[in-house]
Amino acid sequence: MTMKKIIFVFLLFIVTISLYSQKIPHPKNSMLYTEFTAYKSALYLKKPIVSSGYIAMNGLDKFIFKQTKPIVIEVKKRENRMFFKREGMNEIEISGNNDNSDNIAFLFSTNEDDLKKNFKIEQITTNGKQKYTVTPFKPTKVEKIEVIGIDDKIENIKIFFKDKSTILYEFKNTITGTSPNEKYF
Amino acid sequence: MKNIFKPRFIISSIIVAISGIIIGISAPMIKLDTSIQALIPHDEKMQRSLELTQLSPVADKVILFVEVDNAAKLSDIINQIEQMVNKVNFTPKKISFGNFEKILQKLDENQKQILIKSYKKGKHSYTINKLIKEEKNAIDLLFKNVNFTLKSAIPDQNDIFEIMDYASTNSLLLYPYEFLENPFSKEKIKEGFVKKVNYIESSPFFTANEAFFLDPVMMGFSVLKLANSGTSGKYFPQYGGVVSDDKKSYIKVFKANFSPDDYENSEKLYNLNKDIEKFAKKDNFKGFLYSPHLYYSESFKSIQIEIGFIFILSIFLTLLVFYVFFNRISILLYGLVPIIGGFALTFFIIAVFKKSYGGIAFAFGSTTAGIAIDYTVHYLSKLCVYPTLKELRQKIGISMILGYLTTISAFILLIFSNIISLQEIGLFGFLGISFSFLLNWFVLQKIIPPEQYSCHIKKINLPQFGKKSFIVWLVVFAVIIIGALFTKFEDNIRNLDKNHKILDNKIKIIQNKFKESTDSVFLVFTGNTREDMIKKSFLAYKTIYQNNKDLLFLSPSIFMLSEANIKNHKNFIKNNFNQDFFNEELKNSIFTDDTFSLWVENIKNINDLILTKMPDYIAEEIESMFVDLRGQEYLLIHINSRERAKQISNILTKEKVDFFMSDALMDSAKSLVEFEKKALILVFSALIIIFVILLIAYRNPIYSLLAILPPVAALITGFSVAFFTGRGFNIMHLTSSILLLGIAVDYGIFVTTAFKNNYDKEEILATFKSVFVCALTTLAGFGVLSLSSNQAIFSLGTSMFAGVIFALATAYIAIPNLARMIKKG
Repeated sequence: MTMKKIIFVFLLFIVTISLYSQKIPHPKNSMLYTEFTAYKSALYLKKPIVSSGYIAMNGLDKFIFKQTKPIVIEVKKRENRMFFKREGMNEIEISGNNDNSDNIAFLFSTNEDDLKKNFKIEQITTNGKQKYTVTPFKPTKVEKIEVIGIDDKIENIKIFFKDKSTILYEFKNTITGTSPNEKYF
Repeated sequence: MKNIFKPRFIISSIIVAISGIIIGISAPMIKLDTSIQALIPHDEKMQRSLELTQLSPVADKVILFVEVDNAAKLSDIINQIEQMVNKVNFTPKKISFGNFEKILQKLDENQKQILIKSYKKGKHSYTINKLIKEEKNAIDLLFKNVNFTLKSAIPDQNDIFEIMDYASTNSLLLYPYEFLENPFSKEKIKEGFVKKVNYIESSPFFTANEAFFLDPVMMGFSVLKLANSGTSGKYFPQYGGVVSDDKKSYIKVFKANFSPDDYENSEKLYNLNKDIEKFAKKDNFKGFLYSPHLYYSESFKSIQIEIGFIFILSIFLTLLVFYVFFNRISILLYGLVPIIGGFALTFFIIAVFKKSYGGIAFAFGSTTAGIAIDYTVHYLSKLCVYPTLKELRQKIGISMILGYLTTISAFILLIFSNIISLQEIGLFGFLGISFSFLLNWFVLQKIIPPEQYSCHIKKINLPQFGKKSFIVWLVVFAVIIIGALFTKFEDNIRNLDKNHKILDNKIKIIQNKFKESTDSVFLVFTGNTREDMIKKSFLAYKTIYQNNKDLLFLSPSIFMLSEANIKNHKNFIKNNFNQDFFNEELKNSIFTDDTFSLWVENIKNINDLILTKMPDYIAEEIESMFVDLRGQEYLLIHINSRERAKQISNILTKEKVDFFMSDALMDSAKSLVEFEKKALILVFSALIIIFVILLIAYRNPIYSLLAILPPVAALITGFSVAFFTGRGFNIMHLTSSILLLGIAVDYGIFVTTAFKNNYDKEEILATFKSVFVCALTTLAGFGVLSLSSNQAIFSLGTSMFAGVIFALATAYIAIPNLARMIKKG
């Protein structure tokens, strides 16, 4: 039921990456195309649910997260607003200020001070890779997010939810600094 | 100049001035009501339909419609309109108990006191007190602080989450086993698990809550689908509303939370709509508000303007006619005494005793100046013919009293109709004409008696008409009779309201793309308890589901079950749930063995399982469907169109479900025609009564027939006017028939008396002149009504106008010719 809220967190995290390039890896010129494989694990699942798709970004305001398997869903950002669509269903707008308790509005913020107010960001470097741990000060749904990347490329993101479920995103065929093909949007 | 120092001039001026002041004070005290309900004869079924409609949430609906060329623009436009909507605050004249309590909860102690002081508690709601300016400002500010704007009737994201959780958590009890497939078969359980996995796959950021574990086979989703199928799709909203299939149109339904006759707030809504339309025009898209409130507001605004216009124009034209024939300014002043004095006393009595009065009755009342002046005209016409008041009264006193009695008997007849508007017209006419007559008899005749008044009556040579004219009259009468034969009775009450072309067109645009409507059609259930009504509505829902799923409606029984239904469902679960099937399919699924143990536990303890607290949105929606009408509770389910209602009704009647359909428009049709026919018989009865009065007065059946000819001719004309103006014979035509009886019989009496009593030429000319002037002043009054955009007032105006003209022609052409023939024969 709180799927949309979690989408916020994820997407805003992506946005956050782009906004706070000094802290977290940021695609060159805010241009990105990357394919992902996601593993959703939970205590009530015997094995992870695997999905795949791509993320494309052309500037801060043109963004798409598209899951192509096993079910097509997409989350788009346009005109500074977020939309969610599931195959065969109507597109719905995801409101950023829907639930302040999730600190989602703060994540959308372009103000670095606000982000610092609500999230603790830690970074360690091992074997040339940077590992970032992003922890909300007042966690509601998401306990923490781990990001591993090199320079401006993210290798994987793992989101830890309070219900002990996780989603691990592994990225491949990542291209940054080049405008992605329009067909991806 | 000499005249102004004469006592009669001073007294007349004082009376006119005082009358003007009384009108000025009384008129603002009278609250105008422009609803067409007042035009409907009240039989029980019709009254119930109307009252139920007024109490239903449909009466409170405001629909925002947006249509764009480019679907990508839609969300941005909606966002901007939302901001406009949220800026408009309302201070309702009436608030429901529930809303009042909700507002109280938001206020601090001081604000609570302001709210409590400003409203008084009624039987069904709180009503605002009369407030002084400072109090009004304080209460306006209070409602602004609590953000009393239009509230969405479509659930928001949080509401949807709560509803989904409710449906999932209670899926075991809510699932309608009576008509949906058995969810516990092996195939259905397998299918349910697949749906559950699909749900997680399509919601990667989803986190499970308790509701997730209480609905392993997605039974809650089936319940939600049922709820959504009866609406335009409001349980899966987009941008807070509903988007059309082509993604280019959008509607959002709001609740106004004030009544349609709350004109001050309706005006705000009207202005908001204007702003939205302006914005739409500027940005090249289609956008507007649609609401029953706007119908009321439009009628109210136009009738207010028209009443003022009709009042001024009819008095001006009446006095102009008066002046043309009497040619003296001072006579205008004397002539004003009975009219303005009569109006003043009428306004005063209505303001003191009635407070609220129908706009149609008021518009009509404004024109009674044309009738009220008749007695003054008759008096002034004879002022120079007879030397003393005594002689004058001897000669025409009986005709005047007879004319007055026949005229007011028509108005008194209206008071006894069971239509509020006609009663109001009757009362206004009775009071206005009676006061005018009395002021004429006791004041005007004393101020300017013949013995003290130097006559300067303008000589007007009215032509006399011979046999040729009589033949023309006969031909015209024949045409009128043919028209009357083709006249049909009106059966649509809306044809009496203002023609709301723009609003009618708007609802057509909305209904082209969406199911929403504000038609007052309801599927209604009765019972001793809510439990009874819920049970009946569930049976109706089941029957429709099994017969035609396209006709499904939003039934409260989807979310709120009767005890009997719950018992049935528990028995079904006990008899049909197979733990082995479930375990086997669970083992084959992706879920761990204990994932749904809570659900299994609930099944084991099914006897103890109860529904959880309903989400606020659903609870409020269901509460609004229960309507208390005079101590009897009804369950009202809105049906989106008359065609659907008809099909639903056919199915439910065939299956013997206990229900009834309430349709304010259709329910009124039969009664309306019945009433019109009955009332027409009443009019003819009145005609017979008048004939009997004339028989007694004249003691001669031939002269009595002559005298009654103008009202008969006028009556038939009034009837045929409906045909010639392309309308059905309606209540207003009927009203004019009754009035024409009373007015036209005067013409008949005065002219017939002149011939019967062998008046000399001068007296006959004076009689013709007085009848002619009376007819012209009446036409000046009623002719103006024909200019009204309100169809009721228009019908009244046209039939009165045509009726008076033909009554005059009958008195002026037919009676003299017939009288001469009688004398010769």
